Amino acid sequence: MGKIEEFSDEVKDLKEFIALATVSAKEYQKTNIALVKHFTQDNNIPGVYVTLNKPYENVKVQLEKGGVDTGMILFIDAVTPTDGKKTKKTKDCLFMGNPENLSDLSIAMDQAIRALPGKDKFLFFDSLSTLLVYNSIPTVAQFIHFLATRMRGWKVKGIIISLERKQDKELIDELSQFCDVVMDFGGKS
Amino acid sequence: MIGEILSALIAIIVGIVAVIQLIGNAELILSALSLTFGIMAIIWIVKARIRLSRGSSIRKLATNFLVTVILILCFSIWGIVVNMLGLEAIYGDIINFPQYLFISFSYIAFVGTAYKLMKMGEEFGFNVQSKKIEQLIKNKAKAVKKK
Repeated sequence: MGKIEEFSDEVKDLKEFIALATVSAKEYQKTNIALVKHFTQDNNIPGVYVTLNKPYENVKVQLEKGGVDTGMILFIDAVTPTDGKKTKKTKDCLFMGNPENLSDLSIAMDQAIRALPGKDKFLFFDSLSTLLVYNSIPTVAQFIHFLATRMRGWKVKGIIISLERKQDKELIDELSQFCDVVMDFGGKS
Repeated sequence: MIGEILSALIAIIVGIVAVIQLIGNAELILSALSLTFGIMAIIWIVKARIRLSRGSSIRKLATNFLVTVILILCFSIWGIVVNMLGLEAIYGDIINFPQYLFISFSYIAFVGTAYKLMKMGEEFGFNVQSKKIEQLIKNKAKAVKKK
């Protein structure tokens, strides 16, 4: 049984959930595409993709190459620099300008999730590891706790991606308590 | 819950009436009460501003709102001081001009805050994209049914 099938099996009875997905750097891209495809293609669920790791343009191209219909997704890009680090909006993406601006990121996620049609929605947060590059561990822990609480309020299927790194292990262990599913998508780092 | 709110409201009104009876200057007491609300609002905005990320839109909005509330508070304080010390009788109408200035600037600050709010709506609003996604989901569902 593949990892995605295993994941699908684990969450099949959960209408809404928060899943922490750990993955190696090598398997990261493949896993992201497979997870998003699982929601948009297999289950016809729209969602929000928050990218802190790669610019929106790259993510979009990679997802489309992987067979994902990106029309079902609203993107929030916190990594592409904008003029004066100001928020900027295009047709299907909101650029935050900088990944340290967690206040605006929270508002953007709230607005995007609430704007999506239907009851079933997903939120894909890519990734926890990048958040740690720009913010301190306590700030990230507090933000993820806040995010987990909000995800419960939004009633979404939430996926938080994190790279399997030694330095993140402690934080991942701490965050596991907020999540319904902790899934190791494996691969060697 | 409603009972508790009603009892609290009645207690506040009775308290205000009692203070007015004791001191005998209703205008002064009501102005002082308004000031306490204004100060409370400033404390809450400052607390929120400290917690919000630097450079974020919501922090900027909080700053705009803070300026507006401060100007309104200045307007109220000026009015109370003039009234309490009877300055209008000494200096004439000119003593009221700063008060008009404060209220005029607070309206300008309100316009600034409203503009910022409108911009935030444009930046963070996703309703247009949402309609496209809704159509896409419907089309996909139809395609699946046909199969």
